[in-house]
Amino acid sequence: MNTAVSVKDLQFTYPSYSSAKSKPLFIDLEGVFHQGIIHVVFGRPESGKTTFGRLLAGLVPAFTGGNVSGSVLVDAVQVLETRGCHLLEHVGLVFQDPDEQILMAQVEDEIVFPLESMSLNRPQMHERLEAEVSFWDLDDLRSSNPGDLSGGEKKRLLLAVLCAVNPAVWILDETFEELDEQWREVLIKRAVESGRTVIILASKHIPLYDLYVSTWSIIDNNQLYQGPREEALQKLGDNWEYKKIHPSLPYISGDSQYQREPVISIRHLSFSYPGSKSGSDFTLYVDNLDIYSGQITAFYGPNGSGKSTLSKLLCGLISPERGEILIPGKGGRLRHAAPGALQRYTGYLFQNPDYQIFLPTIKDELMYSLLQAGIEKSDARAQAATCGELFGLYNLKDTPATMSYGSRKRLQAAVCYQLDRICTIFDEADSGILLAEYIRIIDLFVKRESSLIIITHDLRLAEKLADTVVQFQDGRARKVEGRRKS
Amino acid sequence: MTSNGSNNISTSPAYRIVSISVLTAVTAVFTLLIRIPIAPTRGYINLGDVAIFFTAFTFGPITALISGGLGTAIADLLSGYAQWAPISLVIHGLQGLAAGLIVRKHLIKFQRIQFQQNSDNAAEIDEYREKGVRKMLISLTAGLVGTIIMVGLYFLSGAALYGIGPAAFEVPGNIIQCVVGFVGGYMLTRAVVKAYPPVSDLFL
Amino acid sequence: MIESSYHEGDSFVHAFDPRAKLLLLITGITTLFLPFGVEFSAAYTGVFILLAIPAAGFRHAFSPFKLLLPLIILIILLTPPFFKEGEVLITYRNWILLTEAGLMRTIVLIIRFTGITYAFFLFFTSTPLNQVVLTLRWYGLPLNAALIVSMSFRFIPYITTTYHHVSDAHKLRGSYQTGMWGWSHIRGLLPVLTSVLIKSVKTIPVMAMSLESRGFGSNRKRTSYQRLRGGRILFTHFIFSVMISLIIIALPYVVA
Repeated sequence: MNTAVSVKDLQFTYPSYSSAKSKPLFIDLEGVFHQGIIHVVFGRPESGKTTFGRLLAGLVPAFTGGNVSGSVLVDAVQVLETRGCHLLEHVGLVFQDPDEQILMAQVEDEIVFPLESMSLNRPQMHERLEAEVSFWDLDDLRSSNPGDLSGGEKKRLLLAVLCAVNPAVWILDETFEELDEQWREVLIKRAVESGRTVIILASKHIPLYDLYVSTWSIIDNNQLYQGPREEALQKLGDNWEYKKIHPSLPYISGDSQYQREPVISIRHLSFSYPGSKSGSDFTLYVDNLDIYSGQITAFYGPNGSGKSTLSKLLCGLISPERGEILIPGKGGRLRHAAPGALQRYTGYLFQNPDYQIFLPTIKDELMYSLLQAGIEKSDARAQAATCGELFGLYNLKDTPATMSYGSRKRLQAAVCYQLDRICTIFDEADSGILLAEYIRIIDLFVKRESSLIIITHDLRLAEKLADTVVQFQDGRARKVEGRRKS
Repeated sequence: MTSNGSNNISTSPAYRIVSISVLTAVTAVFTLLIRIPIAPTRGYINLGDVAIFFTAFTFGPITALISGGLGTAIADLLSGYAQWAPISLVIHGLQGLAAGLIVRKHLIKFQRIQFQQNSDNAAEIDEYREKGVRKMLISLTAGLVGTIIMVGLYFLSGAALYGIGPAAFEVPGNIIQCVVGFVGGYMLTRAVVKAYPPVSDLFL
Repeated sequence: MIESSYHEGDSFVHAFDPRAKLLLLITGITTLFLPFGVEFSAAYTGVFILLAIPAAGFRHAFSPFKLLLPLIILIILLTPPFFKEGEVLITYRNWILLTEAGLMRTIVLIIRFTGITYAFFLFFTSTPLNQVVLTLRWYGLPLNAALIVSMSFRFIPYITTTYHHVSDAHKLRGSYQTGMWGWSHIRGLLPVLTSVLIKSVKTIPVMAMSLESRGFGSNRKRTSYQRLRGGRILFTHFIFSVMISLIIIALPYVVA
């Protein structure tokens, strides 16, 4: 079998912007991927699998900086010595975040753009465009602005671009995550039929891989291990065993000694977005839902089912159309809460940690709200240091915007922790960080008897962690049993 | 093979094109979304000039020329003032170009040094302070020239389009908007350089 | 929040080739500045307004007036004081408030600015933005410039969303309040704008990777898929607009 991709003693280190030198991401990384079959490369968050994909596509270090050495041969091209724009027919990459890959203001233009780079003539472009538009079911969307599409539709658009170009090597960075079951199957079958070399980068295993994938690897400890499926899965699973969650959560797993009182009560709540253009008349309706003190409530459901909308209502970022949200007033009696009051009552951990970072150092970020609240500077400094330590942020002089994703996520949680809200919402905080790290953060909040709402796509996680699981479907919320009962 | 890519990122054509487009969009969004209701004529001032001065100070004259002009022109187009689009394109473009040409690379480099230095050596601090005053004067000149270009050219084109009287009436509002733009742009440049040091390598 | 000024429609203004339309837009505006006398400016402006009815529909056709009104009031208030010559029409005590010259000038300015506004309104209400870009390409706009325009339109919604998320995040952090417009709000705006700018600047290299991986920057010659229709229709429309241009410039001389 011919080799499509071969990597030899690859070293890579990102440039450093803080006082500390950055650690190498890859050390003597070696690997071989054969032609015409499907490969899976697993990697935990921050293991470097995205960087690996971008290296193969000739985009790193050209656009990130950093030191690289070694040899990377993709479809007989030395990519470390070639600019990415010359690799169009050799390697194609689908980014993890479609919002960072889509460039054109119209769906058709997005598909056609790389074809224009290939100097195809109009009939050739037309043929490929039409084929992919109908294959990926984008016909109704062809003149839409890609920004208005749903997450799954954006992924399909990027897959249409990839298939229209049809390069020798396909790299799919977490592409299966945002797709629903039906499209996952369409994609993997297409990948098989194409006869191309397909490298799937993934942080989670899905059963579909077992049917179609030929080789298994995992990026771990700065290296690439290639071996049998079981070994790769076992290496991936080390920190992912759900049964290991329990021991690390003494506060959650013990019997409840808290008095359970509702901290938020939702009564006959309904909300719909004014003038929503997409034609869907989405309405959120929650008849009766209580969030209890000291408990974890999980919001589980597909995209667009109303989880985020309800969360925004609970934070007072939007106001309900009908119905009300009650919180305990003086003397513990529940009463109506205005959005302004909810903004100071409920904390919200946005999925993206970057929305609130604006200061030069961790210390500044941690001291900011304390100083705002009128706390003395010396006290604030001490509190910031304690809180930093609690969340594993030891070097308080680090610059948040250049830290790793995991550290940014922890900083975001620390800032939220300091606000000391009665109830805190974690919006898909489990994506992009290690599960163990996620659990640690949850644990810290639980220890303080803060009531938690976790939004997640992962039903197993929801069932293991939460006292109550609320399932969302088409704007309706349904309560199901939680973990505690087991 | 060993390579260090950090030196040539900002000169790659793809990088240049994308940075201009993103900053054009930033300028348009600042113009359209963020409005402070104090100026007399239009009832508010917008923060488009903040984005233009920020671009000029961080990304340099060429980027500021295109994204400043195009961003405000697109904002005009989207808010129904299409007749202003060609005029904004030229005026705000020149405003950004001038500001960028005056400050040059040294301002942003200096702001980064200022942040990194530790206050140990008194003589060094004095030197920094002295340099700081000079950089401040240079950026004030950039702000002043930018303001004169923007206010002056809007007055001239206003006079040509609808007479001297109404054009003169708009001058104070434009001055406020431009001064807010300069002060805001300067403060944001400082804040962004401190919070995200890689920015200081992008000036071209 | 952000809507293009384009209105879908099937009027003859929409069907007219955008390249010819741009030519007409330019001659139309030029004519308004030529010293033909107020009757002609008024007539041309009237034609623009009438054309707006089929192009934008009756409801939207007069929407530019809403945006024009403050300026028209300003012109009425601030033009006459600059004119003292000619027959005096209105006085207040010893002050000359309005002379004939002042009145004429006021009318000319109002008509001119209304005409310019409607000329632009007509063009952009009947031409989708991608066609505007293609038209400018046809007239010689470089490919990179056209690319910047298209990508800007893709990034505007992206940055708008970022801005909303960032201000929400800062609101919940207690560092930013809306509703009240005062010094505290403006001070609170600084952290929000800083975060928006950092986020925007950080996405640039990633977006640049995407552009690079789409083959941008290689020296192969790019082809182009989207194209304005050529052939006989273009030719007829061009002849037509050149003729109209000549007529509207020549008409005042003929009448005189």
